[in-house]
Amino acid sequence: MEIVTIGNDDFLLRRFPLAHPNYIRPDGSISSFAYQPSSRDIDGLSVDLEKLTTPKVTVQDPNIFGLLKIKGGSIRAVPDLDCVHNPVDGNDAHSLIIGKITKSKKNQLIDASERIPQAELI
Amino acid sequence: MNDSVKQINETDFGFGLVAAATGSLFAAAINKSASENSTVTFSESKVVAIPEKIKSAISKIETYRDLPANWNGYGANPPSENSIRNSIDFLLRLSKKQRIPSLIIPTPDEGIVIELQEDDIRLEFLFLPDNSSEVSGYIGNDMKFDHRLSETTEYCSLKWLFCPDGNCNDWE
Repeated sequence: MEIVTIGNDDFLLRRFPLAHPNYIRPDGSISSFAYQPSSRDIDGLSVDLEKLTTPKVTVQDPNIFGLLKIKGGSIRAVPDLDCVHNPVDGNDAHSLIIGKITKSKKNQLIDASERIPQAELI
Repeated sequence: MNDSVKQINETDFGFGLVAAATGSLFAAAINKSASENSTVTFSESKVVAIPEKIKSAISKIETYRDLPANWNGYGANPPSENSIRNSIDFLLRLSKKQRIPSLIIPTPDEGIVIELQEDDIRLEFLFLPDNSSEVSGYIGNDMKFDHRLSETTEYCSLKWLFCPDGNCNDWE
């Protein structure tokens, strides 16, 4: 798979849990921990490049996960963060948010994100 | 929103009398099966009834032990025993204040987050596998402070949320 450039207007997709556990607060907002890396995210935080996949594919299971979308330019607007295409076996759309994602930056990312309606994922 | 809330910053956590006032609170005697019992006994021998919603919150945390690997779709493991134990201890301390969490979730790095919220003001308590804990305060998604959790920062952050003007009779 050839590496593609992620433009500022391209969307990236990130799953979040909405069953058990549920990252949605009572007021409908979503916890910034949707953008929390795990210890294995050494190279960056996994996302999917929307133009190379579909939300239905990325969500995997809409009974368990919801989906956030964020523009490449919104990621780059957060100081020291960037996004790059990083295809892996079985997922040509795989991309990474690179740079240290601090608590403050997680909240900037969630602020810049939009939830894809669940009805569009089924 | 009260303007005094917006003006609180890190220096407000620096005063020294708080630890003395809260020492016995932080050292609560923890009942190991708290979700099944109805009271918690603090070190000053004060016995406090555990609210039903706190019992429910403790039960929820205990269910996170059984999360499958990859529960977040990105390879996360269930929370560590340290995270679970410390978050339950915190909930038991919260029983004394009769406050109820608005969100309890596991994190992808084996931690537990407990949030308390009043309107758009939010406290985020993060319990990590290495036994460390942190507290962050937010207005909306704008972070106002971020500290390691201690008796002082726990007390001051809860006061920041529940009694920002310092003029409350029964917030504790």
